[in-house]
Amino acid sequence: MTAVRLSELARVIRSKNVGPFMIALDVVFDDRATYERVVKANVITRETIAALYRVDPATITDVVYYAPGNAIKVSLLRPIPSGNFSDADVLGAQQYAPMHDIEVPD
Amino acid sequence: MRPLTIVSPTACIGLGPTDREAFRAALKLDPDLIGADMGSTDPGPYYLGAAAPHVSRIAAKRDLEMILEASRELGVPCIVGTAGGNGARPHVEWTLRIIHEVAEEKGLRFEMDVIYADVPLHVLLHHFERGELESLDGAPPATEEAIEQSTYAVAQMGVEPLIASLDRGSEVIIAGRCCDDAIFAALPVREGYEKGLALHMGKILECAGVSASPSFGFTTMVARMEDDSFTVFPTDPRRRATVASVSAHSLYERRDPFREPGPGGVTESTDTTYEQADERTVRVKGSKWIPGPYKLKVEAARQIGYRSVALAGIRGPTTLRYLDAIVRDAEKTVGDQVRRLPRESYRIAYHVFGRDAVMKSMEPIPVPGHEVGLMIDVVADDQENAAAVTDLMLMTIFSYGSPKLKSSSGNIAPTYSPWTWNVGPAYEFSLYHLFPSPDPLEPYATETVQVG
Repeated sequence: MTAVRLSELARVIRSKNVGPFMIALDVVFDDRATYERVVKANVITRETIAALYRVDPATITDVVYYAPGNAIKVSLLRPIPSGNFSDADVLGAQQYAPMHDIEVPD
Repeated sequence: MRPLTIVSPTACIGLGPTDREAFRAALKLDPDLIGADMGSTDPGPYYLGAAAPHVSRIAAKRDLEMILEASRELGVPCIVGTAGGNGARPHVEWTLRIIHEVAEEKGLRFEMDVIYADVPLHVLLHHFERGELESLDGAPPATEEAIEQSTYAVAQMGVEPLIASLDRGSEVIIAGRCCDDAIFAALPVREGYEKGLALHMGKILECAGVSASPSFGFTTMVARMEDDSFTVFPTDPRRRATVASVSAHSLYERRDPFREPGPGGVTESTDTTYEQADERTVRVKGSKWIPGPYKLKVEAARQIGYRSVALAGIRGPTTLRYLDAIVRDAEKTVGDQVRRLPRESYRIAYHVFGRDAVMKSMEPIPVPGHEVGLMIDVVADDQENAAAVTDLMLMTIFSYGSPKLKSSSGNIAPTYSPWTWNVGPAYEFSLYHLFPSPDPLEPYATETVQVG
């Protein structure tokens, strides 16, 4: 049994503001089989993302498995709102990076 | 219902190099509406708080000219939403000045409806006192202070104020803060199409070619509505709409891809189907409007002070190793020595690029590379104080001596001369809330303006 990194399976891994106080992490797959493999592996859940991002699971507001788009979407509260004092990612555009390294078991 | 062809040339007027050829190709399809979004809260609180556009005048003029010329030459109505970036009155007026200039240069004459979307602060205070301001998507609870300190407050309009202008026969509509999807949905809703379907179409079109494959936000996307479905396709022959590209776009910039809340209800797409109609076209069907209480989203920003910043590069191994301790000691030294600046009158943030600047507390690997960039970011009660603190911090870190450091001075490399940059007023979002507004035409003010 070999694990692969999420970046090897997903076509898109991105992040973006959802309003000034939240960020959404999107993972999109090319086909239903890959999408289902990742959903079944249970590696993208409130708990795993909270651990990966070192945040309280209560700040992960939504985890949506979106079969029509072969996509998984996670929304979380920003520790620092967009453009507030001490923020350095106004658009929330670079918060997806740790997602690349999520290991997906075979 | 007559079939409708709706054209979206760009995800945001003035933001990118809009593909004119793709737009011209769309004009040959006998369009019924040209729509374009011009703004967002994404660029952060400064642009709303200072009522400044986030795009250049030159680029905004290029796009507005292209749209207005096409609209007036072909007699196709056009709607611009969230004019000027955040859609507050000064943003709208900035846009109108460009439009008047274009009309004069091109010899265009037309009547235009301008819809202002500003919310008076006393209206918000009234709702606050009645406990009717509802925090949205993680916004902290509203306070009287936050409302009173807001420099501008705008409410995203739904389709209704736009439909009222279309009813009056207006063919050029410039709207203040506006729901992106409403720009494109107002016409089909007026013609009797299912509101959820029309808004779903609008949601896809508002980002123009972002929903094409390969995606590009500055190329034209076209939607055709007929009966109980719509199709979408890009006009650039090198791109296609695919089921994957269109359905994935439903994820973009929102929490729940199945539900898109807006004024007066929710667009639900649980039963929506996406079908490859031909090689370049996707057909969408089944999105529904679920009505609810009519609430508007208000966005506001307030000033938090004045910002100065300085950037320094760090390559020296001992500075890299002890950076946090050096910064902590330097801050204490500056705080102790500069008594004329009360400690509560300024705040300092440090962005260590190459370590954890981008993700801060969420960074799973806060390990510096062989070189990092240190951005000293100061917000103080006035610009002079912000600059003074930035200078002092930079030079204290520069010359900080310690037995741990091999560099007796020159711990960091200030990047530029001048090394401190005065950025001007700094802002934060003060409101991102819902408030009840049972009349969909309130608080919007429409003026009809003769151009040319």
